[in-house]
Amino acid sequence: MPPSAPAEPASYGDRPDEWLVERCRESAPERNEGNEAAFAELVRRYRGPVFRLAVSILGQEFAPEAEDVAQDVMVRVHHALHSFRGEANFGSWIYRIAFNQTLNLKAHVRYRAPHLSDQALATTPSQDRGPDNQLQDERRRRAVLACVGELPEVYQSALRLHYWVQA
Amino acid sequence: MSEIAVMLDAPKNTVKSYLHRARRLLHAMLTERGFDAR
Repeated sequence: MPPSAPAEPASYGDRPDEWLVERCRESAPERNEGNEAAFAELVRRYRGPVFRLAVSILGQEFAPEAEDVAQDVMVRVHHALHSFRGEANFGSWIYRIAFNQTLNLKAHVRYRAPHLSDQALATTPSQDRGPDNQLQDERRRRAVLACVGELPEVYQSALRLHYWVQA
Repeated sequence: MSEIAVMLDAPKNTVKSYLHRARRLLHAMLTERGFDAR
């Protein structure tokens, strides 16, 4: 095998993001035909975190929408790889796209009913504690969510992202 | 903090300030509603 031969896809898991991005971009970017194995590795790394980011902003009841965001972000990233300049690291770049995409969606889902009914939420046991404590925890959780929802948008975003990054 | 700053397109110190103000507001709102805002 010549020294310049591409690495086997199986070894992509050990490669840094920037290397994978270069592999994607070096093959016919004008036709959007990047290296599929390299891009698949980027998807494997970031699809889950992007989904969790979207859930942290939209709320758990909008998990199906968060799945759509994760899918859309990966498609957008695939199309936009050639415009990635490397000024920020790849992770920050993809999270920025995901964040903006999720905020756009949030404006639409805010006034829609969640997928889970209030009754379903109320009857879902949160922890193995007594019913009184569970009820108290649930009331407190709802109060926190309601209060967060009343904060200015930029404060909400900062808080949600902070706890998402820590999770 | 750096990742959040990139996503919000704001300097790190501004993000810290947002977080500080958000927590302070949240604390006041929860206390007002009768919750122990730990």
